[in-house]
Parts: sequence; C-alpha cells; structure tokens
Amino acid sequence: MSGRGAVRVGVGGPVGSGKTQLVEALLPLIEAAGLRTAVITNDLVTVEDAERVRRSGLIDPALVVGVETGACPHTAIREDPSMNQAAALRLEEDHGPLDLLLLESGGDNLAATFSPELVDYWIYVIDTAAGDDIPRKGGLGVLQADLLVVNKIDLAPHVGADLDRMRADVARARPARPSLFTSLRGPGGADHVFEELCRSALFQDVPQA
Amino acid sequence: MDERRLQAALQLADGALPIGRFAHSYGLEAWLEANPEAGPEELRELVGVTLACSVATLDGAAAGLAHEAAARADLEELGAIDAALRARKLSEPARQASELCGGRLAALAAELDAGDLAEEARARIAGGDWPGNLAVVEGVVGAGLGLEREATVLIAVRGHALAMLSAAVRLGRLGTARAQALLRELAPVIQRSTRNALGIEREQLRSTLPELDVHAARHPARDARLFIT
Repeated sequence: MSGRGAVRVGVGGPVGSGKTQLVEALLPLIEAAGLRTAVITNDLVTVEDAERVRRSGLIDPALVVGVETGACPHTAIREDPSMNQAAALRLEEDHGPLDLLLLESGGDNLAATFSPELVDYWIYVIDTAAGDDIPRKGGLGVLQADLLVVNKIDLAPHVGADLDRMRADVARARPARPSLFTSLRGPGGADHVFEELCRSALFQDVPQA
Repeated sequence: MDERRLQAALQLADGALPIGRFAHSYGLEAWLEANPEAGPEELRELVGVTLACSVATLDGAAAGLAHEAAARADLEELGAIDAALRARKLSEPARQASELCGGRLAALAAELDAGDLAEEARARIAGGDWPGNLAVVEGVVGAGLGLEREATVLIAVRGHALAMLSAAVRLGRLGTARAQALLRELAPVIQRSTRNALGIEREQLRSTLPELDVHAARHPARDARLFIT
C-alpha cells in the first residue's frame, strides 16, 4: 500500500440485507490473500454488530471498532463522517499499516450513500427477499454504489421474487457499474465479491498469500 | 459585526458543521431513560442548568480563554487551558465527546481558512501533545476567523444547547418545532452563561452538574444506546 494508508471500503444497505454477513464472509478471504484489514461497524443501537464480528473468531478483536451514530446512520457515513474518520485514523495509528479498512454502515434506507471523504469504494447490499422491486426503485445506493451485491438469491423461490426481473432492473439501473447476484450464506458466496474488490478497489488480482 | 464576520460566525455555529456532534448526547440519552416522564419543560430546565453550571464555567470559559490566548499566539497558555479542561471533565464519555469533536474541528480548520495558529493546534492535537477539547479549538478557530471573543463564546455555549436539544429530538422526546421554541426560550440563559464565562480565569474552571455527570458516566455500560456519549 502507499503511504496514504488503507483502502477504505464502505458496506451499506438496508437493515437485514447481509452487510455484517458480507464482512464476515470477506474476512477469511482477505486473510487467505495475506492482506491486513480492520473493521468499523456503525450500529443503529449500541455496538452489537461490532461484538458479533469480534466474537466471530475471524479477526483479532482489537481490529474491530463500533461507532454509535446518534440515530443517524446516514449522517455518520455521508453528511458528517467525522466519527468514522476518527475511528479509521485511530485504527491505522494503533494497528497499521493496513491494506484494507472495511466500514460497515448501520442499516439504512435506499437513499444512503457514502461520503467520498470517508471511503474510496463502496458496496451496497440488498436482500432478494425484501422485495424484487428494490432495483427498479432506483435508490441512490443501487444507482451509485461501486458494486451492488444482490444477496439471498437462494430465497427467491420461497418468497416469490422474480430473479430475472431483478437482473433486468439492475442492468437498467447500473449500465456501467458491476453487480453480483449471490447467496453469501452459501460456500464461496463472497468469492466474486472479493475478486471484484481486489480488481476495482485494490487494482490487483486476488493476491496469493 | 461586519458581513464577513457574520458569515464566519454562522458557519462556525452551523449545526451541519461536520465535527461529529450528532453522535453525542452528553449524558442525555441515559438521563432521559432514567426520567421517562420528562418532557419539554424538564428538558428546558436541564439544558438551562447545564449551560449555567457546567458549560458557562467550563467549556464556555475555556473557549473565551483560548480565544484570548490565540489572539496573542500564546501556545503555552493554550496547552495549559486544554490540559486544565481535560482535568475537569469528570467522566470518560465527557472527555471523549469533547476531544473527538475538537480534533475534528481542528482538522476542518484549514477548510475554514482559520489561520496558521489553528493549523499549529491541529498538528499538536494530532501529535498527541494537546488533548484537543472542542472549546479550546473553538476559541482558536474563532480568533483565527476574526470573530470577537464574546461571539466565539456564545457560539460554544449555544452549540452545546443545540446539541442537547437535537439529541432529545432524535431520542423521540421532543418535536422539532418545540426544540426551536426551547432554543429561543433559552436565549437569556445562553446570554447570561456567555457573560459569566467571559469572567472566568483558568484556575477557576469548574463544573458542578453531578446528576448529568453520573448519567454520562453510566452511558457506556448501558446495553442499548444510540449515542457515543
């Protein structure tokens, strides 16, 4: 990495879409690639997601920081990212150098975006089971994220979600930006996400440790 | 106040200034939980008492002292004010709220064109030489922007009231229109607190607000919380 510090990657999306699940799925891949990472979580209430990641056994608990957001998850990643910037600086000072810093937003609505002063790259996660019309609604997260992850596609037949329609809507909403349909719970569910992250955020192939 | 100074004052006082204030309730979240019946009247009393007994005599006074020291570029005195302020903040959440926001305002100072001394303050805070309390940075930035001492202190005092009322709104205990009405009703307290703050020396800095201090200290131990402090 350059002297600029870790590449900061935001993970946003509605409540329950699988943001923490994505972070947990990425951590072993990042470690296997020999990259050093830390995690900041923004919970709606208290620091439950931070505790979940710390207890996961996937990362040194000292490398996970929870930031409360005063009931304003979108403010903490967009209008006033100060507290997350402070947490990122602290992590890099105490544990650097890091290659990647994953910053998970609190669950928010479809209009959430990350400040370019906070992250270099951001992923937006939506849930197939939360409604197959979400891509068609064209919220800012769906439209502007560097990478869109449509999670829980295994649930589509159980909730009556039309995946073909979702794929068509996603293609229309994001003609020039990558999107991945996956089930993060399944084996290898985050592999393509990690490959895309390496290619587009780290500007390299998946490193072989 | 000329137009340039007025614009600078409005910018420093703007609730949208990105220094992280929105993430702190200053003990209010825990206090409201312990006082489930508290409504607008009780909130007005609490904020008023906070301004009179804590903000005026501690943060507001420190902002005024820092403005004075900054005006004569006295870095040694600024460091002493910052250390004295830290020593008088009783709980870790109180120190955390003040220093996190102060550090961010110092980092933002260059964007506000707040001058060389503000940049020196930023470097000393980033280097760990100064704690970087918000009030001290407000004093330095206020002086750097050419604001008068009284205006800078008023911004610091009013900013605390605004932050508490905003937290109460987000905790669902106050409507937005009522919050504005309370801010207007608190105007005499804000003015009186500003005047009192301007007469306090470094050795006289103090805070006597045990009830809110206790709730602020309890805040990190709560199972469910929306705010950092």
